Amino acid sequence: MGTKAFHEIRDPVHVFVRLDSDERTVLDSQPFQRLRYIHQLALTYLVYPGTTHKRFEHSLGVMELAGRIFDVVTDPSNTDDNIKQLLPELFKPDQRAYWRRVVRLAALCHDMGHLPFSHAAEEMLPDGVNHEQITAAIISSPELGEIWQKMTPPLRTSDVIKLALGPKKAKGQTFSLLEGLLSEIIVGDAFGADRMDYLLRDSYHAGVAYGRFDHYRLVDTLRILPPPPSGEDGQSDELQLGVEHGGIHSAEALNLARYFMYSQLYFHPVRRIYNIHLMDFLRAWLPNGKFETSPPQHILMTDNEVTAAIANAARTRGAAGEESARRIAKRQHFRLVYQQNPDDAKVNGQPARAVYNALCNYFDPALLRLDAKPAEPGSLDFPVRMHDGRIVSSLAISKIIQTLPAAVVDFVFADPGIATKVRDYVRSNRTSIIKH
Amino acid sequence: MESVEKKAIVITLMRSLAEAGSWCGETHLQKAVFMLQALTGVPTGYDYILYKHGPFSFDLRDELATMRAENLVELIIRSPDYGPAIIPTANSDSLKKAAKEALAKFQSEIAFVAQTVGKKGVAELERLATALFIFPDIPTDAPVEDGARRLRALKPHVSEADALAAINEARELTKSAPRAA
Repeated sequence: MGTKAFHEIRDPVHVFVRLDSDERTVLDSQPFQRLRYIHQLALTYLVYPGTTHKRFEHSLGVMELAGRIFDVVTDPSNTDDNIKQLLPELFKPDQRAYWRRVVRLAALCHDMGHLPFSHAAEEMLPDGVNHEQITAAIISSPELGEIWQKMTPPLRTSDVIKLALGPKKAKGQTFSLLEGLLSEIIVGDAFGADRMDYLLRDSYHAGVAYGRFDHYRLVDTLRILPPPPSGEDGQSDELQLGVEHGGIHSAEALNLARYFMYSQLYFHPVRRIYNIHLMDFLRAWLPNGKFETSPPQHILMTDNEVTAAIANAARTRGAAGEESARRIAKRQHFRLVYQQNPDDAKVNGQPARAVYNALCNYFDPALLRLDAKPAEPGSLDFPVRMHDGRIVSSLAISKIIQTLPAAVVDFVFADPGIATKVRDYVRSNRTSIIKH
Repeated sequence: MESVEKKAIVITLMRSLAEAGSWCGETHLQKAVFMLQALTGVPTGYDYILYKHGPFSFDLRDELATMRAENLVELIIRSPDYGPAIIPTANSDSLKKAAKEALAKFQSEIAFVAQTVGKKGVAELERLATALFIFPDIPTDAPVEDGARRLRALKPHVSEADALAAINEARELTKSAPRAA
């Protein structure tokens, strides 16, 4: 019996993820197998017990979705002549097959550089390094380099890196129109397969319905489009991903899902404080408080090693990071004492910081934590092709997309022993603190 | 530069662009801040790459999202057929006081960029900003056609004549722009 050329993997979100034998060699590589041991949502399982899923299945899902999106947007019947002229590579069969493979494999590899507990531990990287740079180093490593070379035709490593990282993270790289568009399929803010998969997958595992949206309809209506007129007198021809008018409600649902998932799950205050305790632990436990970034060292470190260290430190008096480990292992996390609200935000642009600064004058700062991070963009502008062929801005035709607020992290936490006193103080002094 | 100073400069630039006749959508703002950095040397420090319609800063986009959340700017739809304009809110006035010195220091640079960018259309701005982005890599004695070729390699939808005009204008602007001390 011959070896199977195609393989199917069961998946709770996409039913089946299909891949060929070349793609499977990447799946079987050590850096990819490591993703079986990296939780997608760090310690969120301490709040939502179902979220024990890993980067491994998410990466498979991103590959599956990226392939579907590529097939739709490069289908000749979905593109006009102008687009075919500007992107000739996508409409010659051999080159289209090459780029399809690069898109799928870049999607598969896009998270390989993640640290233990994913984004939560990102601060433990040396200055100027991010997980995407580690992803690039792994894609360029001898193990994967050999795999790219054995493919027919061989893949250019730089193509895989560019598409996996996208222009936001691939520092110093210049993207052609084609490369920019194809990376948008994977990591784009509006319709990236990464975002679609994590919303669907995270909501499935968390057991929350608000992360779902009709991704089948959305993917089927995605198109390569010119940008909408901006009102700025003159039209650019630079292409980007947009939707047919028939997909606008699915796009709205995606944006709503994104807002709800950020505001209720990703920015859940207890999840956030566990991240802070985890960072405190890692700072104390890691040599020099930093992760190793070279690929051979990187692949040796997973959530398993860190979880075992937390458990050990929590029961060992004097161990490095003992206190933070105990807060995680014994659920003695800091408690929420202030959370930004719209009224306060109207008066003060950084209300949690104002509250935190005021509290530090009356309570021990070691027993307080401020958690404020830049807002997730609320409204995304993308082109929509109307029934009459006009291209318009999503913000102009969708009130939902136009008015969607940004999800905000703006919290102050306190040690459980003083939390009640701190809350009383905030309640009595909030107005004057915020005005000040 | 302090965060409050950067935000104050962006807000002031928005107001100056509007006074100069700009619609003040994100594209104009992105290119105007890029020119403020690249052409006049104002150290706002946003990281730019060549991406949407020429130089584009994800840092600036994130900053604008934060400024929206902080109620310093808002998006308005002026026409149903067009994308949104970004305008400062009354709340942003507080930044003027907080960044008084920086605003005074870079006043002429902000005015120069607003006047240069204000009345240009998106397509023209895309070409000019891209020309300025690649300008440091073009030898000063290279023929203008070399720069135009490089620009078209990056932006294949730009015509040869437009690319030549953009490179020429970029050369002129680098000579005439005020430079921040």
